[in-house]
Amino acid sequence: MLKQSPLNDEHLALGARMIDFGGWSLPVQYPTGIIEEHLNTRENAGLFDISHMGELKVSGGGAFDLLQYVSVNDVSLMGPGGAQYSTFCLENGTVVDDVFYYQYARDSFKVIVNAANKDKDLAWLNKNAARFKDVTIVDQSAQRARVSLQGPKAQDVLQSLVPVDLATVKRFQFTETELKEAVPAFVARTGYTGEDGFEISFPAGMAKAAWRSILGAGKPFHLLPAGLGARDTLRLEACYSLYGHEISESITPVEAGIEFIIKKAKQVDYIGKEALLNQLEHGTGRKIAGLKAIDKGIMRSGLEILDDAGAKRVGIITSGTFSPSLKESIALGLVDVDHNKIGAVVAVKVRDKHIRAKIVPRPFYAYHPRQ
Amino acid sequence: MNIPDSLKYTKTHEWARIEGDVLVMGITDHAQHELTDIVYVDDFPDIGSRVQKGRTVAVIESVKAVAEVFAVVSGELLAINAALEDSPELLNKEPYDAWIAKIKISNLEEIEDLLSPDAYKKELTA
Repeated sequence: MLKQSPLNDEHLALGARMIDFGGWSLPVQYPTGIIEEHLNTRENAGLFDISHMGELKVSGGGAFDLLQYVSVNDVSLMGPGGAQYSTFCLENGTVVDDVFYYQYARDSFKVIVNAANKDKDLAWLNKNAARFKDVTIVDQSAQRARVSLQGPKAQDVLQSLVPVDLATVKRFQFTETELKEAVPAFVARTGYTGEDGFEISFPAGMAKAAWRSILGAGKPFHLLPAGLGARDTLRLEACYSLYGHEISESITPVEAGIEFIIKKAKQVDYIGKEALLNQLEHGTGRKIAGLKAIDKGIMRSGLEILDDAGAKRVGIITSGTFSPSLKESIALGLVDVDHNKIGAVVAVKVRDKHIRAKIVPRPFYAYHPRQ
Repeated sequence: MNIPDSLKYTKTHEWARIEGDVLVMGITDHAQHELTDIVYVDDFPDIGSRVQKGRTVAVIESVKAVAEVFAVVSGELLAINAALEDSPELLNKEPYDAWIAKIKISNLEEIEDLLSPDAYKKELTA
C-alpha cells in the first residue's frame, strides 16, 4: 500500500495522474501536462504538494552542536529566522542526504529531508546525538502537510492570505503566521524551481482547507497546481541536485558542484570535513557538467557519456530531460575532469546510437528573484 | 478515451486507417496520454525501405518516457509525417490526425489481425 498525502483526494478530484514515488502515491501531473505546468510556474505560479518530504524538529541545548557536527555547511551562519541548504555526509565526504534547516533559536530547528531518506536521516541524527547532551529529535512528518508555492506571482498569491508583510521575509528566511481560516502556517522563502516562492507547512488536518484557499487566492494570478514532473524539469533547469542522481552515498558535494556549502572558515569538526577540504584543495577525478544535446534525443539518467570519438567512457548522465523553458535537450552528468571543459563535445549513448552533446555552463536557468 | 469507430487498432496502441493498398498509422489517444508531453519523434527507417510488421518504425520520446512505435503491417515505407519533426506535440493534441507513417501493404491478410474499435476498447479495460 502506497503512502498517501493528506491532499490525496484533492489531487484525484483535480484529475491528477498518480505515480509511485519512493513508496508515495503522488501526482506526476494534472490534466494540464508537465510542460504547461512548468511554463506556468516560470511565468505565473505553481502549487506543488511536497507532503511526502520529511519534517523533523531538532531541539534542546545540544541541537546546534549536533547539527554543526553532522552538517557540511556552517550552521552558525543562518541565525534565528534563517534557512540554510546543507548535506549530511559520511566520513569519506559522500552524501547521506541533502537537507534544509530552518532555525527558530540556537536550541530549536526544523529540518526538511528527502522522503526516501527520512528513516536513514533519523537514525543518523540519533546515532550522532549520543555525543551531545540534551538533544530531542521529533519526526513531525505525518502530523504536518507541506506545499511549495513557486513562481513570480507566488508572493502576490500568498500575500492575500497572510497578515504578515511577505516583503519582509527575504530569500532563505521564514516566519510563522496564519493562513485564512485560522490555519497556523510555517512560511519560508525557499524552493526548488529557480523561481521566487515559498515553502509552507501546516497541520495535516488542515491541509485541504489550506490547499483550497491557496488555489482560490491564486485564481486571479493564474496559479495552477503542478506535479512532480514539472518539479523535476524546473529543478533540473536550475541545476539543483536530486538525491540519488547528482548526490548519493557514492558522490560528494564537490563532485556534484555544490561546494558552495563547504565553508573553509568553519572551525568546528564535522563528519566528512577532512575528505571534503582535501577535495576542495586537490580537486576530484570527476565533476558535474551541464550538457546540451546537439543531436535529437533525451539524455536520461544512467546513460554513458563517451569521448568525442565515441570510443572511451568518460562519464555518466545523472539527470536529463527536455527543457520546457529552453526547448532543448539538457542533462547533468558526472564527467572525468580531463574531458570536462566548457565547450567540449562528448557523445551520449542513447539506445543503439550516439548523440553528440556540448558541455555548457551551469545552471541552464539562473535563479529569478522577485522583480 | 477517444477510440474512433472508423479505425483499426493494435494491442501495442497503434491505430491504422486503410486507404486502398496503403496503410496510414499513428498512436492512439491512450498511448499519447500514457506517454505525457511528447518532445521528439525519431529513428525512422529510410523512406522506400521495407518494414516488417511488429518492427520499430519510430521512437517517441516524451518528457517522462520513451516508447517504440511498431509497424502495423509489413511493406514499403512510403512516407513519414514531416510535420512531427517540428511539432511532435501534435501527437498529444490530435493523435488521430497526426499520422506517423504510411506503408504500402505487401500482404493484405495481415490486416485481418488488427483489432476492431470494440476489441481495442476491451483491451484497454482488461
